[in-house]
Amino acid sequence: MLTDEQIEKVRAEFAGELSKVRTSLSATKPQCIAVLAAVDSWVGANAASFNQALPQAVANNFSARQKLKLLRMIINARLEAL
Amino acid sequence: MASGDTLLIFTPLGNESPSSAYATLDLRNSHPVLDFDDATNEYAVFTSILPRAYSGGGLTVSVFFAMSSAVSGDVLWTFWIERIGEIQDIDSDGFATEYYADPKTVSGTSGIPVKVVRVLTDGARMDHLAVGEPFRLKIRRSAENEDDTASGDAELLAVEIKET
Repeated sequence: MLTDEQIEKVRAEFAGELSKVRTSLSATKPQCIAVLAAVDSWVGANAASFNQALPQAVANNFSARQKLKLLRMIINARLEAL
Repeated sequence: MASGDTLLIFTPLGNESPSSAYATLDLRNSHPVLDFDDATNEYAVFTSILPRAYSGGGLTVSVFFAMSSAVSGDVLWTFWIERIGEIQDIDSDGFATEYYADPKTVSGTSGIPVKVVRVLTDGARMDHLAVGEPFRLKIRRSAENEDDTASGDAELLAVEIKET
């Protein structure tokens, strides 16, 4: 789980990106923090499920950090496709 | 001068940026604005001379600001006056006590400015500034205060000082 400080850092980064392109956001800072905490909690709760979804024959060849990077890259690619 | 008459107007191009934690000059549809971060307290500073038409009624400071992205939440602004006159050594700062405005709810359209107002009564709250004396006005978005809830940058468009 991320700490409160880490969550706030992500929130500020998120808000900064939206500010840069002036995209409207109807959520306050506390609401954003609550959403990010929920996302972080969901990632934690589903980590085992994610791990099990990988081809087991090679899953053990990846470190936890590498698996998370793969997940991030897939999410980024999906984001770009939106 | 009568109560309610405008004494001074400041725009983003007149900002004298502090050496750190300064609001950033930006353009929004060719409007110069000062961007104030939502996570760190940032400042803008303006210098002027209190007009001789001022008749002792106190100052009302109004800040017009829009938001880069937020369409909900509040922004908390804080103000200081520093009397320079012929008494302040400009090698150091001599701002008087800080004064907060009430948290101001942002517009439902991010680009529509809203106005936040703070009254500074004549005397201590104006650092005993007298007519004809140079002074500085310092403005902060108090982003680290829990009452500042709006997400993203606040964009200062203009500041008016009128006689209360």
